[in-house]
Amino acid sequence: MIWINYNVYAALAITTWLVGLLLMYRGKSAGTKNTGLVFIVVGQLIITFFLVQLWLLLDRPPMRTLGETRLWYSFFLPAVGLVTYFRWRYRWFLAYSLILSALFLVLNAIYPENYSKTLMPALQSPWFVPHVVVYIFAYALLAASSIVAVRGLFSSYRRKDEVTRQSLSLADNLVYIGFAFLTLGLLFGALWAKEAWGHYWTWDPKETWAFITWIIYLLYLHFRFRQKLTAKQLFWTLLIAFLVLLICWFGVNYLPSAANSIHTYTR
Amino acid sequence: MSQKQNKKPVWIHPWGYVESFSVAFGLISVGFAMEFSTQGRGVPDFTNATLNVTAVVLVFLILTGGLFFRKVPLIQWLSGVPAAISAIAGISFMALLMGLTLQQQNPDAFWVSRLGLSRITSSWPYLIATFYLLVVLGMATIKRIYPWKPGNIGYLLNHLGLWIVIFAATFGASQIQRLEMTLQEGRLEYRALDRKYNVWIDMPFAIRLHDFVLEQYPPKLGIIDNKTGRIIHENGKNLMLVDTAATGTMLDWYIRVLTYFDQSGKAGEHYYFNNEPGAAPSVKVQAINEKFSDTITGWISCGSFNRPYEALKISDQYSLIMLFPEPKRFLSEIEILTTETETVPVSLEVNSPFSFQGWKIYQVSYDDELGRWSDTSVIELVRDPWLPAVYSGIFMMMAGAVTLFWRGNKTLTTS
Repeated sequence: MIWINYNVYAALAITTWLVGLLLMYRGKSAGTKNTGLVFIVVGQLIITFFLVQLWLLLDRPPMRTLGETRLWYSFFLPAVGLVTYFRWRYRWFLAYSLILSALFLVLNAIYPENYSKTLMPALQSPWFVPHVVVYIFAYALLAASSIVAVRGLFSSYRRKDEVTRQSLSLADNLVYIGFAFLTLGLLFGALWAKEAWGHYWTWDPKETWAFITWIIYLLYLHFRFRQKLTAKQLFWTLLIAFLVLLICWFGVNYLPSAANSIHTYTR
Repeated sequence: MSQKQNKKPVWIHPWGYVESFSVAFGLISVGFAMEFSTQGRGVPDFTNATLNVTAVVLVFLILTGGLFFRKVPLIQWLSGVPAAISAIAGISFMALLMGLTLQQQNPDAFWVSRLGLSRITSSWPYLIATFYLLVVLGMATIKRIYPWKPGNIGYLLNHLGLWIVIFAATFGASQIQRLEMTLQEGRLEYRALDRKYNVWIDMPFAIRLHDFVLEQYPPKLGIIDNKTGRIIHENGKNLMLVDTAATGTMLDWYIRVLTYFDQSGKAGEHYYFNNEPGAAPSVKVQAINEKFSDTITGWISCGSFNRPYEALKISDQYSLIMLFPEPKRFLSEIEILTTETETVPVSLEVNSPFSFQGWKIYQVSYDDELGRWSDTSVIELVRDPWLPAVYSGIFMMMAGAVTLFWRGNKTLTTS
């Protein structure tokens, strides 16, 4: 049995993020604020280091179980937050992505996993890593878009038009890139399924929900194209879409329709 | 607000959201009515000729409508955004139904079977919703192809790619053949079972299984409740992968592996290495409970089809057991023989199918009970004539997804 001290890494990462955010928000000088940013990057590196170590120790990509995908989520969310910060300087967005990521780190600490080394033959494929990484990255981006949607809703109910406009524009950027990755993840999955199970699409419950998730974001893109919907309606669409995404990721296992799913690797 | 200003009576062109959603709703209702009136038998198996004619007619209608009658209000509506959104919503609704009901062969509930809810993909409302989507998506695509602008390339890749995928997957579905072939070591087999129609098919080639190979992970140890016989899981914890000199903690016990044989037989109280058929893995462990300063040592084995298993009782409540080893990889060394006395040796493994004369050959399963001593291997032969079309659509969509990045980097203006 492999025991890496996960809790220590998670605690370290969360602490550096807290310190970093504190410095960024409370710091008076530019130097202090930059130090805060350095702390956040260090936290990100801690997560990265943990993932690399886990991969090496397990001797397989750590992407099989729900808990393992949560780890990747905790890795990608701050990454999206940092890139957005460097690109557009949204400090609040960086803060929210770190908080969400920390939440997932804590979830994994509450429900620890026995990191099993075994990997069933169906998952031993060159498609495994790109399929999961692309998907979790898409999920992280779309989660980010839902954070933006919540902020946008607050500002639109308070009639702060400038913030609403900015939020909608940021949400759009995130959804477009997130949707591109979602599409790639879905198509990689189809190509892999053909190699592994003989058909590219079998309407397995996980596939069905992945399709529903994809099509709901597709609806959002078309709503945007028409540009007749109000900002509020668009933000609500994003929140509903993210809810569907969560059903696809976690919820499917609990639905009656999933009784015969081939996508349950949690045990 | 602008909608209120241009308020027009319903069903007067140009049609908007109300008309579009009414059409989508109406079409799906008609589908369910058809399903209900045909006793829930669903869409019948059309002949290939019928399907081909339908496909050609559909393409012809979309092309003529989209190219020559684009000024007609009906066509303008079909290629517009409200129709697109209603078509997407229609197919989402069918997918949601599919995502919420168990898809199975013989449902119990009357309404589920009568409305085809347990096999949505072969139901009328699903087929009609798909057709509506194909028409709307097709019309919208043509509008952007002709007249052509280079800026439309991303749009074209995404929309035409998706159209091709749905079109080819829908019309190709009935031509897909999935046959199952059960191979016995040393024997030549040329017949395969079509499970859909339960008929045996003579293949144009024969396959001989030389050897079936199964590699396994080392077994795992677990703790069971003596009364219920269930494994104490705790979210996948309390399982320990065996290795020579492995140690681990399960519940209150510290477990140490003293000896490990991946194949063994038992003589008296001890196990020793043995590689006869059925020789099961065994392990000698020491279980230490610090709370009660208790130490128990003994042998455990998961047994096999011809060997008994052995558990180690570590308290009144619990016993230590070994789980069957999980497969790491399995493969069939086969030889394909054609009538032209050509032989092709193939090593068939999960996730790497072999293509031969338009068929893709897959390793599927083996005799579970015999495990690594199985001399049976089940393979699947799949033929999908429309696959190249589906793949070209998929690759177009992949390229289209890449173009979305540009869009994502550009800040959109908001109204």
